[in-house]
Amino acid sequence: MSVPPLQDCPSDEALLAAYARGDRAAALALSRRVLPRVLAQAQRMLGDAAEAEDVAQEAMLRLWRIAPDWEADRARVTTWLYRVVANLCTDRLRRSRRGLALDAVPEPEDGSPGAAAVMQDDARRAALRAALADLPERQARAVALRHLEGLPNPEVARIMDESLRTVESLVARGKKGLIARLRGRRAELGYDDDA
Amino acid sequence: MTHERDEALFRDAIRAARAQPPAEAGEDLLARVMADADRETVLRVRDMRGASRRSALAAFWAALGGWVAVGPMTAAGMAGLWIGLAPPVGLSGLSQGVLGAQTVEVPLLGTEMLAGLEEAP
Repeated sequence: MSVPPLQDCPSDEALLAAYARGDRAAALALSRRVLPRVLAQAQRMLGDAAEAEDVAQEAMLRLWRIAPDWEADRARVTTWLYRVVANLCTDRLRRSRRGLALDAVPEPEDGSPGAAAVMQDDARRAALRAALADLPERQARAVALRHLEGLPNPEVARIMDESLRTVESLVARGKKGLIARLRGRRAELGYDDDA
Repeated sequence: MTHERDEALFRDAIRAARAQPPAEAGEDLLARVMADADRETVLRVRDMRGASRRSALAAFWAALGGWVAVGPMTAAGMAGLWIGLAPPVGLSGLSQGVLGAQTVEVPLLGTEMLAGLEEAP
């Protein structure tokens, strides 16, 4: 059976299959295509560039390892990567329970309103990650995929390999749990409750 | 009112996280990812070679008949060797009765084979 030329089958799955046959150029092309999105997802969940790079590298390593056994009709590479990155990030957040101390947010270098807004955003990001780390894992993954990645529920269901109804429930409970955890920090996060 | 404030709290936290400038997938990260890809290719090829060597040995063993065939064959060979080295008492009488009284001695090493060694320096 002849293998079709790469340019005729440039899907992620075809590139992965070509890599499994030993085509290094296919691995490079696939990496250039998916790595930015993988890294961005990890960065949004972890908020730390170095950790996000570690997660991205680990997710790609797992992709290389599964390449020989990949069933093209089973899943899309991007769907699989969304799941792996979400799992790796929630594992990291839960292990380290980091990002969580708002004291760790650096002070702005000047007292300008712009600097204060940056600091406030940093505090809100840190509080969000602390809350995510504290949620049950499946809820944290569902909320992150739905709200941080902005994916529709059916896509989240495919990624998590859950039913749509289950995902809707996980997202709703996750969001409620996040709000409950953020509520106690309203003042720290710059909300004036008297307003 | 509380619901709206909660929604704003959640929405602002999500917006802040999404607004964070994305990290760039630099050449350094790409190089690390490709190094992993190369390493996995090497390991995969090595595993495949090992598996094919193992399957060749397994095929040879199966051709012999496996343990079922080789086990009794080995036992019979060992028994024959033992009888040859230390024959049971009644065996020589039996063989003389069957083959006649003539005794034939067969040297394990021919004397002509040792002749040349005696004069070796």
